[in-house]
Amino acid sequence: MKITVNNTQHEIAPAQRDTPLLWVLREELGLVGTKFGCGIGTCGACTVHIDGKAARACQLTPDDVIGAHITTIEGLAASWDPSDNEDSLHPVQDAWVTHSVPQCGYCQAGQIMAASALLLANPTPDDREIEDAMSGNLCRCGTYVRIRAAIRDAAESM
Amino acid sequence: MTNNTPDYSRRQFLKNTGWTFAGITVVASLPGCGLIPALPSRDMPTGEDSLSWLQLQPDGQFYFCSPRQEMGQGILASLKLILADELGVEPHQITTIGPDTGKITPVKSTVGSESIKDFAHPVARLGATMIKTLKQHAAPILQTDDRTLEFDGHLFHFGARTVSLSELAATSPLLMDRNTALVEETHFLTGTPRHVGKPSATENIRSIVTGEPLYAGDIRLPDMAYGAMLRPPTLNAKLKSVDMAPLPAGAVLASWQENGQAGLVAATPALLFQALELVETSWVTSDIATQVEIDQALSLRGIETGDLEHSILDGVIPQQTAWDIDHTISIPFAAHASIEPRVAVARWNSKGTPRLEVWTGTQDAFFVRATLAQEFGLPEDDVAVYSQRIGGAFGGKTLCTVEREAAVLAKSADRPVKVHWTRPDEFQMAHHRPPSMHRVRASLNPDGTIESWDHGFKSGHVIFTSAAMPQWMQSLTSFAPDPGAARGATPPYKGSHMQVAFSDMRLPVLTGPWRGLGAAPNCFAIETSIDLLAKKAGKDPIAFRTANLKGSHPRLAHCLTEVARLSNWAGSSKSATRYRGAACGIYKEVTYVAVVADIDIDPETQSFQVAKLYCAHDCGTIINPDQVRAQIEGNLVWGIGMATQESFHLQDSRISADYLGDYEIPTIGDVPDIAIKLVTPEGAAPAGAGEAAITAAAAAISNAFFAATGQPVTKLPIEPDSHS
Repeated sequence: MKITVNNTQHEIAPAQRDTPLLWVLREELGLVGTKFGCGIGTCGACTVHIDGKAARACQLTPDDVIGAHITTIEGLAASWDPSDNEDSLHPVQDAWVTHSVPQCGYCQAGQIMAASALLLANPTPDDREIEDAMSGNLCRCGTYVRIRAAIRDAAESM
Repeated sequence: MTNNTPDYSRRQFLKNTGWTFAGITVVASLPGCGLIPALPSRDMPTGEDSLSWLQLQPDGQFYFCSPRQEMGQGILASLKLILADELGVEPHQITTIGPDTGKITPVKSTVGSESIKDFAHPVARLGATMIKTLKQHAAPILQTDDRTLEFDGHLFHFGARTVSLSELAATSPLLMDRNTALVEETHFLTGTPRHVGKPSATENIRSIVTGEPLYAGDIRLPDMAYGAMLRPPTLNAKLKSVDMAPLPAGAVLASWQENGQAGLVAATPALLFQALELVETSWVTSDIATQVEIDQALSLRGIETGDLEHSILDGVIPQQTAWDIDHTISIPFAAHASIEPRVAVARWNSKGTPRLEVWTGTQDAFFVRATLAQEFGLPEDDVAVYSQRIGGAFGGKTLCTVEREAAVLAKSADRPVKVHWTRPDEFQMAHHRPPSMHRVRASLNPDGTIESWDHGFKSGHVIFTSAAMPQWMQSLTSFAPDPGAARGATPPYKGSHMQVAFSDMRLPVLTGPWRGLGAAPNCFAIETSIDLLAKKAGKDPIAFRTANLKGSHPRLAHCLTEVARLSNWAGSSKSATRYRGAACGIYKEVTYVAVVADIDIDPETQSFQVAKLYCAHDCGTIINPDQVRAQIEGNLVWGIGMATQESFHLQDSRISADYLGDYEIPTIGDVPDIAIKLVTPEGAAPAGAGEAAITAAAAAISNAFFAATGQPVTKLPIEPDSHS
């Protein structure tokens, strides 16, 4: 069986088809930007895009995503502008740098994936909509004020 | 690169850690005590140590092996600014890595918000020494004297002749000899720095936002397998037997069992999860103390402060004192709840050195090394610990836990092994902030100043904890005050009679350092009591605080003035549904903070939301204002969690929480806008910001609730229903 991650097809061994997608991404494919935080979908550290929508990789298996386009943090910039060079960032990543959002940084890939999925679905979210979309992404360092500001900024620049 | 470790005697080592209070050094040879376990170092860095931190690479890039671990506090970025100024280069010309036990000499753990206070000057001198050394190397090449050279950040010039950084290190990395005399004079805190004082994002921010490998869990080694320990069903259960029969043949690569512990190793995460589900274990369980019993042990009912074990302020309270307030506060267990669970990768090498390599995100790489060396009977040089960026620590990643498990399982599997703790492991196996109970009684003089102050409390251990010490050593420490539990218990206010004392209680749950240690609960008790007292005196809470400082701690008074200005403070009531509270604190006698919290409250149900937070913060001269602000924001968010959400208890001999839904921490909707004023007195020494604002944040919120309801908060987290 094959899954498509960041526009590349990967052969998945039959023994892996029931493994949480998170561990397949991290340990089989080496896409370690998607993080493990809880394993039950409550922290958001493993957020990826499935056909452009935010999903928790720990709650999916390769079987669930056959035929879908999976985007991880490593492929986010290219998903925004495939023609661009390797150094370019997605506007949400850019805003994260501009606002100096990360402290420890561990949850931030998940935060960025959730925020970019939000802006794909709703290019002009108000604060309540930002809170609704981001409430499942925990940050223990407490970077929320900057996350909010970065999303507002990214929305303007997109 | 030096592989030598400095010689230090065990005795000296113990003395410097403060463990001598407990008399450990003198009883070390008593029979039956067993080995003295490895203990964390508290030694200050020496100049000689610092020489191992920096080298110039053949490509002309400086390579800084930081003595401080990055865990979100932004220390790498900040130390880099200091180094860049001394070297006369741009920050991007310096590559940083975390503490690596093979590269630098032993250094104390990254705890206590000490990195700027204790390491800024050594790092500045290191940079100044490096540039002087490089000039000495460049001088003969340019056929001149090193004092006549100019350096432009890339090239050393003399007239028209130049030599570049990369040419100087062309053949091998350039290191300083350990006999190099350190330069005394630096640019640090003098003149106009080019980089220090300017905002700089955390190191590796680009790698963070693009998902590049940075953390211990991101390490992948050839032939790496996946391991996990079998976990007991209750905190004190002992393993009786393991039955591997239900596992299909070849399901695991190795299993390990020793001293009531067991673990499995499998080739893939999928196989490991399957094996953990199929393996059958039986355990001997016995009940441990219940939460009710813990609460009883911590209770202060019928206990006079003077009867508690350890005195902090020993003023004598007059017998006839008529108390104006008598306030009891109960503070629960709290978890670190870092989003990154503990994780380590270990590899054994059959020949050469180091024999054992460990990749981990730890606050104390050298303690991990010492512990593993002792456990496996290896010289310390045969164990290498490579520190990776930590995905949140907050005092939690100070001990050797998952690293030992990875090493044990890698040895049994004869392959590199990664062990990732689960979220339940984080709650059930890690150490936590101990609960504490406080009773504060105080009386007023007729002029509204404090006459008597009597604060007694009981707390579980923070430093002398069962998480870090074998039982025999715990009993030796029982007559010494736990300095972690005591932190922050001395109020900044001046009364005629001030008594503060506490007892540290041995609890059946692993407890230990949590952001701010005792300062967060102790300051909460002090600052909520002060508001009760201010109300009794009929004074404005901020004016009451300032008046009772009585001229002491002018920097704290200044923060109060600044936060009042920042928040347009005009009393506790803003409208029928918006109230505000103030609080302040001093962290480790070097950082001053004052907070105002606004809450929106439903007068009917008393349910409330934090609407805005204001903070005036003085940590002296600031190296990196962006990271100081970030730390303040984080502390304030922790204050929200502490005041409104965070708590667990013992239930059926287990921690009541297994997941982050069982133990709530703030989410984006809980966090309001935050206004920060950085106060920087001219010439004040730089100090820490990592745990300061937490001393005031929760109390400011609680005081707003008190202002709104008139009901003192006696227990955290604040539960509106229990007051309605």
